[in-house]
Amino acid sequence: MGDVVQVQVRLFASLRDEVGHETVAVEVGNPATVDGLLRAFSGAYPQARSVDQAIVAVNQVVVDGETSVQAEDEIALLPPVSGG
Amino acid sequence: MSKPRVTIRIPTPLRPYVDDRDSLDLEGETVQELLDGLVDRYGPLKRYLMGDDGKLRNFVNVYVNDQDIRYLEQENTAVDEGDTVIIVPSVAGGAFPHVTLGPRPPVREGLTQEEIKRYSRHLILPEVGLEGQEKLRRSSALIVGMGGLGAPLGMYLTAAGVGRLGLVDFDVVEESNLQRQVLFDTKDLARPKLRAAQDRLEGLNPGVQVETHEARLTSDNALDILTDYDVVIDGTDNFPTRYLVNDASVLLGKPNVYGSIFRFEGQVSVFDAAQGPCYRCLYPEPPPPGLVPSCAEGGVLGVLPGVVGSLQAVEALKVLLGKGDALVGRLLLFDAMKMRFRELKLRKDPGCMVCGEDPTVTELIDYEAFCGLGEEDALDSAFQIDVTEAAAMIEKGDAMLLDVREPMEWQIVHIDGAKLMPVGEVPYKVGDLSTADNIIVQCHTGTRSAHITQFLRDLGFQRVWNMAGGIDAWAAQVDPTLTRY
Repeated sequence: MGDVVQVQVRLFASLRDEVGHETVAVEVGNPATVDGLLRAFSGAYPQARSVDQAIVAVNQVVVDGETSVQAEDEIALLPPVSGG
Repeated sequence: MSKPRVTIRIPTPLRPYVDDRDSLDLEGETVQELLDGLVDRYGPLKRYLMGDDGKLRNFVNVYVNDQDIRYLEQENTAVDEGDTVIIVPSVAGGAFPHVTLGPRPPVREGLTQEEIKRYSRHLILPEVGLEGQEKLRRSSALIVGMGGLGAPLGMYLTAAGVGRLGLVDFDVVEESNLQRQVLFDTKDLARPKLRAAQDRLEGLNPGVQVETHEARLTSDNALDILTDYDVVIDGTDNFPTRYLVNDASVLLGKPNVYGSIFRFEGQVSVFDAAQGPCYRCLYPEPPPPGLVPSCAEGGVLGVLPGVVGSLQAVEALKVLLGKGDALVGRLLLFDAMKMRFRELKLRKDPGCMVCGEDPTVTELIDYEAFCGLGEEDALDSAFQIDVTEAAAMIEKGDAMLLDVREPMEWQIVHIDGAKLMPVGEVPYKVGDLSTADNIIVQCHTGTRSAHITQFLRDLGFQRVWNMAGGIDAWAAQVDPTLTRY
């Protein structure tokens, strides 16, 4: 088992615009948690301003920051959206 | 001895309840006696004037000879022969709500021949049938926001035969609405949205009681408005109202059918704190103002709210019918560009400040302040200049114009000589700006540029000003050849 986990992170709404991609690969130290992943993501994409408000889903379940993350997990970051 | 005879003046919105009379004479010794006499005679009026406890609703003001009874002895205020009592329904800020609530017909049993024909495609569905259709007729729904989402919601719920449909909005129909708000016609331009919506919906289905609440939903009127409906539908376009709708729905125990859109993406869920999470379980705190672009700033595909609002209409009908699996504890995501639906599972947060085990929000708060709004108004007036001042400085070569809109907006129209630096790029390109220059920051209407002005001032720029009213005011006052959008 390596020291680093690489996970695919799917972005939505304003995060997509800020980063310029819909999916990005993020590397995070093993064992990884959601909070660690968010720190690594913010480090790699400092322009992703709305990540602070985003909810995080791991494998289609919205989770909290302590949830662990594995390499094959599908991560989604959803910032709030207000349009109507 | 007989009791004093007093004239009661009835405001226009309530006249339909009193046989269209503008005043009537009643006998009584106190305001309470007069009001009791009034609702005895005109039963349907009661629910608009009084809550379930028989007390005057807090948005109804009563005056005796032009004196507000709140400053007298409230409902116990005594009246004398020949006094005049005036009833004024109002909302916070003194605006008139224009509540056009027609007399509510007594609920009858069964469907008429006409209704059976109209709803025949529902009636032959085992999941709806006669029983379900009658359930819909006895039910009520409130749509908050008659914009992109409100348009399909209003039309489908009206067509479906929901008995009472409340609408909340205070805007007028604008040209830029027509690309997606299919409830409105070109000839409705400049009309209050609720007037236009009421005409359209009553034409669509005269059997539906359309109730218009022409007011901004606020912490002062939200509970009074929401409490009257079985389901609340969130079609608003801003965070303060979304948090307000959520919190009021939780406090009242009403299901809140949520929908939200951004460019090509939409979200739908049913927040029902009795069974699952609320909006605050997802997003406990709103984003800082200006971070998340609105439809006006970010754009939106016209059909998108049609899809998302229709999904909300499906959920609202299911809630009212009590059928199917409601979208509770699930967030449905729609991506029109990928043409893909995804679904995320949501958990109720036991620590949620509104619907959790130990809630800290037990009454409505100031949602504008909660969302950090009013900050652009709070921009120091010394940092604001109007378009004519700005034009004079630019003409003399005394200032550079910094346009912080998006490239697509720049393509529609821009001011010659301006430098384009979209809001999101400013923090990274701030090195391209000189603190020695006079800088005038400009956007479409002056909101985004106010944030950037404050941002640059905070970084130590001393010579930065916000151009109030943005390029729209410039086109109106300085250069009428420019396109307005």
